[in-house]
Amino acid sequence: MGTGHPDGKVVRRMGRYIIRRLIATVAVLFGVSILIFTIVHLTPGDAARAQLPSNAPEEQIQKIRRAMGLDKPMPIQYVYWLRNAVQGDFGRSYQHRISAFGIVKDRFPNTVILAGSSLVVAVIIGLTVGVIAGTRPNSRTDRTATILGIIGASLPSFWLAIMLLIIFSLKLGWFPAVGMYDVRGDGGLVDLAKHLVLPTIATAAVPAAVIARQVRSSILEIMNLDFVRTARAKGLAEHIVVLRHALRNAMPTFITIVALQAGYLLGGSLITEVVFSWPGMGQQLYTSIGARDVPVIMTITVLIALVFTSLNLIADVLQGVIDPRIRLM
Amino acid sequence: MELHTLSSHRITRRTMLRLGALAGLSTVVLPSLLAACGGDDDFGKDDTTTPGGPTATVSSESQGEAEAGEPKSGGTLVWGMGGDADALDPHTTNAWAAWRQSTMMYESLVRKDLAATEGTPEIVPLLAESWEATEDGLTWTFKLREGVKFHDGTDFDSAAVMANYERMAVADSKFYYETAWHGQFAFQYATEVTAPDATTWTITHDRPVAEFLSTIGDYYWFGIASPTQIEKVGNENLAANPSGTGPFRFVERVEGQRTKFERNDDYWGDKPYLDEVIIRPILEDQARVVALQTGEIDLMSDPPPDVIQSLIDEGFTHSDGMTPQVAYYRFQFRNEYGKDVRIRQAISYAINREAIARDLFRNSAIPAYGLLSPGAPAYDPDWKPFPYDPDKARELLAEAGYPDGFKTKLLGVPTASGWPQAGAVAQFIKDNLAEVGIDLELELTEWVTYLGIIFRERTDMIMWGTAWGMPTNFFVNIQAESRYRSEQDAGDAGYTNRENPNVELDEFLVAGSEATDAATSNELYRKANEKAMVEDCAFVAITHDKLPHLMKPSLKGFVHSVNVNYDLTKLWIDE
Repeated sequence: MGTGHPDGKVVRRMGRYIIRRLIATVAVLFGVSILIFTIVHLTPGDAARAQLPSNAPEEQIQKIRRAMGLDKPMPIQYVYWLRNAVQGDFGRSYQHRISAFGIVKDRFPNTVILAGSSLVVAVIIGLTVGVIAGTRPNSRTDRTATILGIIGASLPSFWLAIMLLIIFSLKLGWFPAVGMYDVRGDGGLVDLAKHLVLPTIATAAVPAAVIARQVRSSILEIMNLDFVRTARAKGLAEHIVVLRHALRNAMPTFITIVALQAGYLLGGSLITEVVFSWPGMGQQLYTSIGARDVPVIMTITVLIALVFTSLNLIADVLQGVIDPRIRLM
Repeated sequence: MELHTLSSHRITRRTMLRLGALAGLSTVVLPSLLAACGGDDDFGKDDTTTPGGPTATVSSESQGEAEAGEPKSGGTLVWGMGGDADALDPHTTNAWAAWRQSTMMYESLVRKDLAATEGTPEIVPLLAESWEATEDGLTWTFKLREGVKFHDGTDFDSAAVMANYERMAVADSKFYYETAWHGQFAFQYATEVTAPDATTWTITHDRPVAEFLSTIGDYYWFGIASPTQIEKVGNENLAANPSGTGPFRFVERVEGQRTKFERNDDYWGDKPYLDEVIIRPILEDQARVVALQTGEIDLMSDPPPDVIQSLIDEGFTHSDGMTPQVAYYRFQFRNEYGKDVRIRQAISYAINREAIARDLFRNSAIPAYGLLSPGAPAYDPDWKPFPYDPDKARELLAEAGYPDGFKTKLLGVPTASGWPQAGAVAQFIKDNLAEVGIDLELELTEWVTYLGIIFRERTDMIMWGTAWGMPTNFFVNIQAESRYRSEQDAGDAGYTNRENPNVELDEFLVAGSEATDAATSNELYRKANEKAMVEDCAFVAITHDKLPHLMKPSLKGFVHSVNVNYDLTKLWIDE
């Protein structure tokens, strides 16, 4: 970027900042893993019992419990889990009896595809609506956008998903109802795109509304600042004032909110994934929690936490690049 | 003694005709009923008939179309299910969705006839061509089919049967797998198991086990896997790398998306018409229905009862039948109200099972009164000990000293795969009991949480529920014989267990399971049912689900067996 002349000192400071944040990330992951492990184990339920019919004899359950290592006290179980996890072994799914990491690895890209396309849609809609509404406060456009935003942010996503299904899949027949690919075909990008449309809309509704609201309020705030008045006084065209001056100043807030939304999307597409049978991490997490499949639950939550903290780190660094005021702090 | 010709022919037929009258309204079910009768006759006469063989022409009629045409080979079937399979390992799995898939790949020595749609299915040969039991009923000898190959090319022989037996039951065997728990019920009485030659396998019990054939024929949990494959991939990885002898081979499983099977062209029996079968788990009810309507799936399990009729009106083919499933509640004898038999009976009278089956399930279930499922030999469709009678219930409550009722709790789940409408039924029961003055609080938690909280100490509740079953009499033993229950069991409700057995009930159940004469055995099981369900009223059965299925009209040959799995080799697509 053109502004600022980063000297060695700033780069060093930036480097130290990133390292500090990386250490914090590790601490966060550690904390998340303890928290989730504890919650899963404190929730009533019994993964060993879930392997057997509902009134199997106790001896049989004990046998399974030993085989699964669930007879040990919880802290010991956690230490075992941690020891294996740092070595890259996330255990074997109780439910599917295959590698937990393998399951998550297969599903991660699917969630990234859905979350990514939803984010793109949410950003385009959120940014456009936010800028338009923010530059015309209290106009009819603004009020319409505000109402639509409230509706978008408060629609229960499973309801929206089912409505989309019924209207666009069943009644109009425009898009397929379930899955990522037509199971009879060989897949391909066109097939994927068709399957992606409805889940993307259902997932993008809330973040689009949130982004629009944030962008609107920061644009609104900036449009009243002195430098905007100066730019206008210089006789610059309104679209240049908005896009070059106001929007650029709204960027740091925008990046933070987008990074947060991206993080939420990874977990937030859970409902849509279940409704549309989208084979992502959310759908897997849903079934795994139902089965108390601890290895899979742990792998997914730690991965989501990792992505979430990384996105935030990237957002902060980007902010520093765009906004020299933050860099110097 | 050729045991498989000694099946209860007469009982089967009588039961079937009675049920036939019940089902007479349905043009879909009746032809298949008659078809099943025809199949029955053939099986008694011909020992070497391959399973399903004589019903090949019959199955197309079961679609209710006289001019169904000749079955055609080819095509792909996409089958949408409401639950996902846990593991495709017949010895460890615990999910119906998984049974349905593993039975495509794995075969047991015998199986229940999948062409039978009512009554007690015959035991038909599968990997065993014939079998016999000694006069004392202790030793079973199986003559194995020759020339059968596993999908990985290994020859099927008695060593393979042995390896699979050891995987479940012999702790010091190299094949042993702790998680392969299914052997516990069927092999617990085994004293000697031998493989005298490549095509003979014998098992000797320390007591007669009348239903041994039936238990190893159920759901194919004794599906025989290739021992070479088990050794090659290891016990834990068999689920991801299945290798059986069945009509379909495993192609791939993409978790959460699809599991794909292809026709086994080297299959020893009648080869499937279909080229491929793809199973799709679609957990959300509404999405599964839309997927059927848009043609993304061809066959749907677990339809929500409310949409069945409208799908039929849209032209989809409907099929349901008698399943081994029974949804029931178990009374907690340690609860201050549950310990009084009059109160238990009052509750059983107060529940309107007919209305539950009709209004809640839209007739996709039938009322249940006992633990014996419609597929069990001793099941009697006319036995309805607790007709809906709120007055009788109030009377019994007054007798017990609670004319104004009381407040107590029921434990259950809002929804669970294999236990349809669980939460709605609980709500219905709550309303029913409110009519007789009992204020029932519902504590509904999701399945695995639930399994963790039905502790024996939970004396604050009067009953907890579950749903499962087998098309055998032996299922009652597992539920109510003291030897299978311990005071330490989480779900023990204090009715009968090893520490405090119900001796009278045990007598019926033990004698029933040991009687080698079917009529005697059935009589004993009916007495056990009477004792446990009526006299002691330790359980209250609610419904038998009919496991409805809906499919596109061009899918032919679907026969709704009494089991939870179906003969997919007979399916074909008329397009």
